[in-house]
Amino acid sequence: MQESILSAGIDIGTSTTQLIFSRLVIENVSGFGMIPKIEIVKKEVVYRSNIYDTPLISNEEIDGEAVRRILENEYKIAGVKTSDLSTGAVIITGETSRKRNAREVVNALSELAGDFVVATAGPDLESVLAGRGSGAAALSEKTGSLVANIDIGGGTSNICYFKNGKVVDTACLDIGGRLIKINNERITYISDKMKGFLKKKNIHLSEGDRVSLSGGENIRKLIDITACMTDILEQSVGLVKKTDDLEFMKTNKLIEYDGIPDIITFSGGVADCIYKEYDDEFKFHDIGILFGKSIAESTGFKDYLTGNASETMRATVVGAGNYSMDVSGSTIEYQNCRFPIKNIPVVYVDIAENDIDSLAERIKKNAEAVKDGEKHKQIALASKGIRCPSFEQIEQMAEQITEAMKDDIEDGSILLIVIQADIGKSLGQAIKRRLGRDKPVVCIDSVSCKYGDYIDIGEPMSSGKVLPVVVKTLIFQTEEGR
Amino acid sequence: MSEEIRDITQMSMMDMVDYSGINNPDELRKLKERTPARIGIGHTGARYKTLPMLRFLADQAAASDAVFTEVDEAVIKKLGVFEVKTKCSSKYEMLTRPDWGRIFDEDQKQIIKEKCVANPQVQIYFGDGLCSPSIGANIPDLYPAIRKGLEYENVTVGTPFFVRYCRVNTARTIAPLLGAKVTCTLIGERPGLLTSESMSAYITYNARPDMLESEYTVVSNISRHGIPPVEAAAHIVDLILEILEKKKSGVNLS
Repeated sequence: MQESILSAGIDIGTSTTQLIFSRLVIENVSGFGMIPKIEIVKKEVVYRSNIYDTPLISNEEIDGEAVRRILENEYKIAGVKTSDLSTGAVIITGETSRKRNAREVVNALSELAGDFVVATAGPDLESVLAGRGSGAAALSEKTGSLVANIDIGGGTSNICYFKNGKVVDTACLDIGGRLIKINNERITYISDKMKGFLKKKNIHLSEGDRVSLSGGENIRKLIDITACMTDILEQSVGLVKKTDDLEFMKTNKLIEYDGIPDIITFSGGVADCIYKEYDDEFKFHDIGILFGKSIAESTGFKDYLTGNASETMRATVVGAGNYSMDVSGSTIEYQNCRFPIKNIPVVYVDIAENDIDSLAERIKKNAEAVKDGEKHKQIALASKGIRCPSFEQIEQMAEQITEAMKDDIEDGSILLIVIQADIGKSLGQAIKRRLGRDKPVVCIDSVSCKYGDYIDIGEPMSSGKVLPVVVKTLIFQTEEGR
Repeated sequence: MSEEIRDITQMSMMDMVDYSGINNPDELRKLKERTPARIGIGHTGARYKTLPMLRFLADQAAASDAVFTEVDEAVIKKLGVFEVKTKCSSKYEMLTRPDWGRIFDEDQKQIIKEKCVANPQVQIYFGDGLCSPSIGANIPDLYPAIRKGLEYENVTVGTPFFVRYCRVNTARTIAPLLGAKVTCTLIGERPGLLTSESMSAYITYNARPDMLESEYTVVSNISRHGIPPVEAAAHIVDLILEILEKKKSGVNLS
């Protein structure tokens, strides 16, 4: 039996604000006599909003009220009520996420997007969402190639490498079409990072300077700057030799994966400027079109410009609506919990067949690191688990976990366990036998997460068999392995 | 000469792959990751190569052995249960007389009645079925997990036992004999080339001689190669609870 749910994706970016609604179809795909296996079998964008300029009060503040008005109006046009939504993601991306009131704005919008929301994204997740939304992930799965998606927005460029449909690396650079804004042939804004870059490159250009498309020194400077930006992008995907410019422009991390992409796809607002011709290059009052032109003319990217991103401008928002949510395994266990559960930090532990007896100790140690002195902090315990454990091993694991989490459970925390191996139900039942019926327990499987991730769990679906899950990778990967 | 003889059945079929003459090895690897079927194993003209050929024979022999061998008495002893047998007197007879594989002589019925707790909510028993190795491979993890799970839910579970030369429809005799509401037959399933230790659970409400085949709820493919026994057990616990609550099983359940 099929069941379909409606998901919202809302992206408030540096330059634009967009909304999509998509329909996710879930279905039990397993056959007769088999344990149920509920999967998302279809994802379809059913409504695309207009693309709006992100309303700002100043360069430091988002106009939250104006954003809300835009979205409410789009809901009305689409004929969608908040109560129709089962899941959704509001994300603030790029430079906008660094605005002073970003978090309050997202929180204020949460109610519009239904109960189950990714509140903030962060550069790594943004890269992944854009790459999935642009079709790069699907392309890598289909072709088996290493596909890099570069999502160039107003303030940042989010890069994601995919191999066989899976994310292998991400990066983010402070490069975008709106680092410099122009109005009436006058420069009205230069981002702080760009100011630093201009100083570094010894290019003299400041807010208030006149710039004319018909010629002059300053337009040449802008063209030089966009050429530099293109060069940095080429460096970032290993097409040309790396310089310290790349390091200077990185947001949080660069690509570490060893290998040059077979295919590069471009998405984001600037991607459209690569493929299209414009009469007025300051049509969008920024350097986006010049930047796009520079990429189109670059020698490094020339062989890659095949135009195969299925979404450009809307890649991130489609990614947010379609790909942020997944469903847990279908044999899981939970009791006494109120959903959704949001923003729970993940504590990762390894479990092997021969070291279960020291599991409690290791959980305590790793939990300590994540809690960082906060005694009453809710955590999610994650592990790859053991593929086919014996009954004895399940009992042992349950014993060790309940022992390690004793204080948390007493404090009223949910015992939240996320296992990758298909053992969630057996482990959950073994844990319930130890804790009784009153304690809140969630034990899900077939979800992989790691140290540094955060997890959201939504309301049960498919008559309670599965839980929708969003794993958010927010923290820089360099801390991995702690 | 090397003393060591390699056991060719140890390698997973998913790792047996022949890339010679393959233009895109990455794609073949992806296909291999999705199925344990015998694809991408190379060929010589129209024939198998030596290793895949030997492996095929070995797997087929294991499957055939699984059907024809007896469950060792030591295995039953280790499980700590008593043993009865159906009307069949040998494996051969069980295969040729399915009708005898589902009924018992009087003395065997008497043993069951004497040794078992009467009127349990759930009666669980084990049968060799078409796969003897499945008993030793799965019951030690499967059974205690089901039992513990049911007991936690305050469901009474009867005395377990082993039936030699067993077919699924023994449930039609055993349920009325013991007054069990639900019977759960854990029985070896017909082996294939991939696994020769898989087990199924046939669960039914109010099993009786005139019941329909469609009243069985089945969970199949229980083995370390398929659904891990402990996870299958947890699922079976929930199924049994649902069946007890709704007082029906099989296709009537959905």
